[in-house]
Amino acid sequence: MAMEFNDYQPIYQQLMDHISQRICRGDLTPGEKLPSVRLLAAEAGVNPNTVSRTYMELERENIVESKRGQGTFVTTEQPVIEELRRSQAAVQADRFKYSMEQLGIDKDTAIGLLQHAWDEKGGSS
Amino acid sequence: MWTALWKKEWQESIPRFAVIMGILLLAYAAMIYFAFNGSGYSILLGFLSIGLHTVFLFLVWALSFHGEWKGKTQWTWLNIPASGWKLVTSKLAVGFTQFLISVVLLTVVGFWTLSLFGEHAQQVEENGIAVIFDALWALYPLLIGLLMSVGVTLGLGAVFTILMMRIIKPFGWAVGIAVWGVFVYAIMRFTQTPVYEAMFRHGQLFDAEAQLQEAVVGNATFQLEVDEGIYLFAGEIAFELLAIAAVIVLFSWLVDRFVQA
Amino acid sequence: MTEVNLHKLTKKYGRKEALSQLEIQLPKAGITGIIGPNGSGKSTLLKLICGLIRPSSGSVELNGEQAGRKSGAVAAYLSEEDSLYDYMTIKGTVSFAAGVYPDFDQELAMTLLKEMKLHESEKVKELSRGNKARLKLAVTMARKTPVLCLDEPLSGMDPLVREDILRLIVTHLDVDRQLCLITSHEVKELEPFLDHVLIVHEGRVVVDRNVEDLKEENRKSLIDVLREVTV
Repeated sequence: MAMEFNDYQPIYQQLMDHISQRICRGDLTPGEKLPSVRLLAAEAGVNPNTVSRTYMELERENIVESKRGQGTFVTTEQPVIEELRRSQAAVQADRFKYSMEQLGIDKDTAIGLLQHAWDEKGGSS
Repeated sequence: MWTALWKKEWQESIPRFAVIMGILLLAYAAMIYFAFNGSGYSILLGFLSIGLHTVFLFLVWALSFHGEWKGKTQWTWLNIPASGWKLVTSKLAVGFTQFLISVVLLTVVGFWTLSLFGEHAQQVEENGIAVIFDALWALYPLLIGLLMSVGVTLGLGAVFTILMMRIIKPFGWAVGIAVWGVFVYAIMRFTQTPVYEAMFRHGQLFDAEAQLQEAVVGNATFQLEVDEGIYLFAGEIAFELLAIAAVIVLFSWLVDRFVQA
Repeated sequence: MTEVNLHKLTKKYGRKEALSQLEIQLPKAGITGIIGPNGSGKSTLLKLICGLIRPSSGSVELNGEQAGRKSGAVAAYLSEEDSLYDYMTIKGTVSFAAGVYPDFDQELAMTLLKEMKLHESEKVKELSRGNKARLKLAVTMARKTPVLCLDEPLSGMDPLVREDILRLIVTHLDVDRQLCLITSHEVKELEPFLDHVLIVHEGRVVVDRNVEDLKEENRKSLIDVLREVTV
């Protein structure tokens, strides 16, 4: 039930990332209703105000849409989701690059490693 | 609100009441048994039972108030958004009701024992016991009044002491006992003053001497003397009730303003 | 919404100062954690707010009124101890609560208990520690008071009970209107639930912050902050 949170990021950001990822993956489909604030708070093990803030921030980025009295829904705008997927991927790519740099690995080796991981472990291309 | 509190106090007190009644019923059974045999133990047990009734309220009230702290339920009890008088009177009322039930039983069993003893006693004249029976019956209102008065004084004293324990630490109990002692003494002194007499000795309800004379009338073998007239006045009863009410108001005020959980 | 103001609040037990000269205005709503080492005065603070004990000096005001016995209408106190009447049944406990607490939501209480698989005919005396804690909290939540003071609701409970307790709080607390104060040792577990935190150390409040702000500023967990300020 309760999610694990890291210590260096505000929880609402971590929740935003979590929901964004689920949208990108298709766990949450366009137009789908998100859980109520209380329900998600209980599920994730966080303060309801944190969930409200998460939804608010997601709405500001047009990733979700709240309808008065009905709840919060995943956007139906496909381009927005596409954009979200790209930006999430970009963030991960940056992190990867940073980690490699920390290990003193150059660009070509890093790409090689990536290539290798892909071929070895399989995965969707 | 008060009903819910009463119900709770009643429920809480039932096991305690059952134990007390169990002990009393055993004593009564023995009393009646001895009475059948004409044994004087019967009378002794009678006195013991009356003695137990003087501390009846002391016991049940003390245990009820102390029980909140002992059971660690004072956190719940004092967090109930009811005025202090409701918390206090619900406990007092439950104990008092049980006291009354027990006194009625004591009365019935007591007089029954006495008449049985009269029938079966050998040394004492049957006639003599009958006179004592009549005399006791004649004085009954006075005796019951006295028993209640003593019982309530001891009982409220216990409650006061328990409250003081929660107000002053660490020697609240000593303060409680001392203050209560002084208070009771002061009241007793006051009842001997002319002011008291002028104010409260009104509305004679009961004349002990006359009652006694009536009870033993036509019984030449007995001469009961009553030095002074012992009367029961409505005014005095009113005074006692007033004093009790004042004490309950004081308790409520203490609970609301000073008692700590 | 309730204004809870502490003004020069000092509480002594004998000569020992449990709290000294607190000057705080609590948040009006949301969940506020009160954390700190054992004996730092956390529990004393809750008891003072609920009017169960009285300040040695200074004052506690709830909406401008001195905390006292009347505070029971505004502030519900959940004790760490077994403060339920153990001679009652679960049902009896709930109907007693309905009889003495104004606005008590009996239906909610029964629903919560059913959700947690507590049977109404069971005697409080015979309940496990965890189930007593569940019952206590369900009754407290159903009181619907503007302020809830939960004293160590998680301590000594197994993970399933802790989960139930936290879930109950987030699903039934109205975070926009009710203020919930929680003392706890389980800082790590509690952290994601908090809007605000007070860190109490040796009778003083050394941190009084919004948790998100604190985190954005320090980039540390609450437990690390706690360690730093209480050395």
